[in-house]
Order: sequence, then structure tokens, then C-alpha cells
Amino acid sequence: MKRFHKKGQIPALYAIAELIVSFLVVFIMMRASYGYATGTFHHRVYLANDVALTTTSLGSFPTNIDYYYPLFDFPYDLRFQNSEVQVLGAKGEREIKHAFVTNADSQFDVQFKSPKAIVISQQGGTLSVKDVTGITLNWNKEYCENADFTNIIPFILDPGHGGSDDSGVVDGKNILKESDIVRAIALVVSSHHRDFGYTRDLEADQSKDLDSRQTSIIPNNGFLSLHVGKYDGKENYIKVYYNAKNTQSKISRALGCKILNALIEAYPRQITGTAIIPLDPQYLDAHFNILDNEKAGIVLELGNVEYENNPFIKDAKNTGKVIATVLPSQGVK
Amino acid sequence: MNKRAEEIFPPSKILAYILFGIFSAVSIIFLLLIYNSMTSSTYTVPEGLEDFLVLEYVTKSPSCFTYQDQYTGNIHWLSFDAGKLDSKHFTSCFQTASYGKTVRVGFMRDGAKQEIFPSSFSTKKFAEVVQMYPDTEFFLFQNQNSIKSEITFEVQG
Repeated sequence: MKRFHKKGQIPALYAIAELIVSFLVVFIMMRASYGYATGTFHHRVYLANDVALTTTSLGSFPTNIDYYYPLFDFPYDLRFQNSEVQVLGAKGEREIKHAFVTNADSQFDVQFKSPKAIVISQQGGTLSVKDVTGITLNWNKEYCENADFTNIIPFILDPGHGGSDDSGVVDGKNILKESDIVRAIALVVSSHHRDFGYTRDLEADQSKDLDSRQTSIIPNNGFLSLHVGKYDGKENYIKVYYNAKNTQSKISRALGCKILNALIEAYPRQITGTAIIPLDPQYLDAHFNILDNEKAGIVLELGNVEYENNPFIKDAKNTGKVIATVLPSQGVK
Repeated sequence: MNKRAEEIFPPSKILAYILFGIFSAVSIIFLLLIYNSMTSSTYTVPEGLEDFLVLEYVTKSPSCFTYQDQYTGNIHWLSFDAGKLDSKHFTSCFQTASYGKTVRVGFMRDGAKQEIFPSSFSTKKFAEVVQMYPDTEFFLFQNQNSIKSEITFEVQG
């Protein structure tokens, strides 16, 4: 200690200490200025707010939903914990957090390292989040419950429409009718399943009224009614309708769901949307009377006749083959 | 060495160095902020949006009060399931961080007004309470019957 009392030594140490402190102050100020001025701080605040608000709003969504949230090149880590989202910054920077609302069944205790995209999911009211960086997703696919299809044999195909309600489209010089389109598909399905019955003659353009088609379904346990919609030419949806109030409703939904997913996998780029729609027979439109029974069955609407590249019209052979794969004669589980 | 350090960093001028450093950093902050404000757009969360989203959750999520048909799974917005209207269910459906928004619901049943709120709602904290949906008609769905009901919501936080 003695040598520090020499003249000039203590001021020199002070000078060095003050120099270090001043460098630290400048460094911190520069760091803060960079964060504020380049927007990284604001980005994190914005991100925390937006993810939290999005999560809350998804909780009130009336149906199941998977929401794709792109993050592109945001370099931050994300943490979901205790009903709050935290956006972490560089080492030493305070995390930015924002609360969201969820229910007790939802489990949030995850951290993602610089995710490029996340999916916030609401299934049956339960919220969850996952990192989907680098994963290619098809958001038209539906979640299918497992179901035993062994009891839906004997099975019958119902190529829909014909008659006055037969929608069609002009294809060159010919008018392409809905009944012809679905008959072509049903022919392919039938060629893979010789044991399936059918409500109309598949070999000829022979319409049958709805009542007689409904009667044909009665001796069977399962059925598939094929249709094509007609609406705005920019859209091409797959829609599955089923009777939600009969004893076979779960099997019907699972059957429609599996067919729908198989078709999406076969034609991922030509389908603009999907829906599985439960119907109550009490309020059925006459078009859906075919669902008013205790059978496991669906009405499947294969896109839009007005859609230029509807694969179910252009490629009936493969469409039928895809549907047939989901419907093996011995049933699938 | 010590002599030299003292010459280079005279103690009487160190304060000036620090002030200069701070001044330089602040100047850079302002310059960059000005540049940034000129080259980027500003995003602001609309006032009341979060309150609105929280109420949407309470009034429309089947996890909370909204009536859901058990067969079709269809959600009936603006219709509440009378069986769900209790504080225990609300606490279960409404989980949020301690500093987050919270809600108190008041409704008429059998001529008497009841209030339910999750455990996070502070009955002592009235300063920031916002009342919403004053003119909207809600229905209580009880024993297959839908009854028009007076329901009020207060958001806190």
C-alpha cells in the first residue's frame, strides 16, 4: 500500500478507472442508441404485443385453427410461459413480455431459438404453440380422429345429381355436366372395389331421382355421395358434409377427413380451401336429404366446375384412385 | 508510466471526457432516430384493441361461457351456457399473467344480479375499469331454452 502514496500514482489509477467507466458508459449508450434507433427494441416490443394479442384472439375462434405466424429473419428467441410471451434480446438485454389469455388446459412452457415461423394452434379451445422453422406445411389439411371403418361394409357409391339440378360448365364445344364428372370418378373407384354397390348406373349417363338413390342406400352400412360445386371460378374447395346427429357421426367425419387429406396430398396446389361441415338433419336442405339416415356416410364436394384447373375434373382417373385408396374393401383403421 | 498517464489523462479533464462520450452517444441516438423516423412507418396498437380482444375471448370462446352444441360442435355467439356461469369455470377458462388484462362479468339470473370474475380480478383496483358491450343483447341458454339476459362486462388492467 505504501507505494500508492507516491506522488502521481493515485490520480493515475483514478484516471484509468474513470477512463474505463467512461468507455462503459459510452458503450452502453451506443448499444441503447443502436437498439432504439435501428428499431430492434421496437421490433421486440411490437412482436411481443402482436403475438400475445394474436394468441388471445385465436382463443375466441369458433372452430379449430392453426395460425401460421411468419417471423422471417427476426433474430430473437421466443419464450411462452405462464400466459405470457417473452421476446428475448441479445445477452444482457431485458426480455420484452406481454400477457395473453388462455385456459387452464393450454400448456405453454416452451422456448424457441430464433424461429423463422411459429404456429399458434387452437384445437377444441386448447391453445398451443410450436416452432415450424424449415417445415413445409399444407394448411388445408384437417385433423382426423381415428375410427374403425370395418363396419361400414357393405358400402355404396352415390354419383350425385343429374336431373334439373345438374350444374355444368362449357368445356370447348361440350357442356361438362356434374353428373358426368362424378360418374367418371365413381367408375374408377368402382374398378378398385368390385364389391361396392352404386345408386346409379355407372356405365351410362342415366340419371336417377334423389328418392330412389336414397332408397338404394338403406341396405348398406356406409356410403359416399360424390358432387362438384359451382361458384366463383377463382376458388376450388373440397367440402365434406355429414350427419352430425346420427350414431355414426364420428365415423362419417373420420371417413370424410381421411379422403379430404388424401386428395390434398395428391393435389396440394390446386385446392384453395377445405371444410368439414356437420349438419343437423332437422334443418337439412333438400340437397342433403341423402344424409338423413343412420348410416356412416358423407357428401363429398370435389371442387368447383368453374375452376379452370380443377384436378378432379382434369384427372378423374387419379382422383378416383386416391379416393379408392382410402376405401379398401376390408375397411381401414 | 504514471507520470505519462497523468499527462495523457489529466484528472481535471476526465469529467470532460465522460461528458463528451455521453453527449456523442446522445447525439448519435438523435441522429439515428431522426433518420429512422424518416425512413420507416410507425405501428401503433389502436387504443382499446386489447380490451376488445379479451372480451371477444370471454364472450366467444367455448372454453369460457359461450354455448356450444354438443352434437354439431357449433358455437352460438352471444348465447351463454348457464351451466358455465360460475367463478370456478371462469378461473379455469381465463388464465393470464398477473399484470395482464382481466374481466368481471355481471348478469341477471332469476331476477337477481350476480357477478363472476377470475381470481386475477382485483375488486380493489377500480381506476382502469372499462365497461363494454352496453347495448348488446345476450342470451342465457338453459335447459334447451334461450332467455334474453342483461349481461355486463368490465375489463381491468
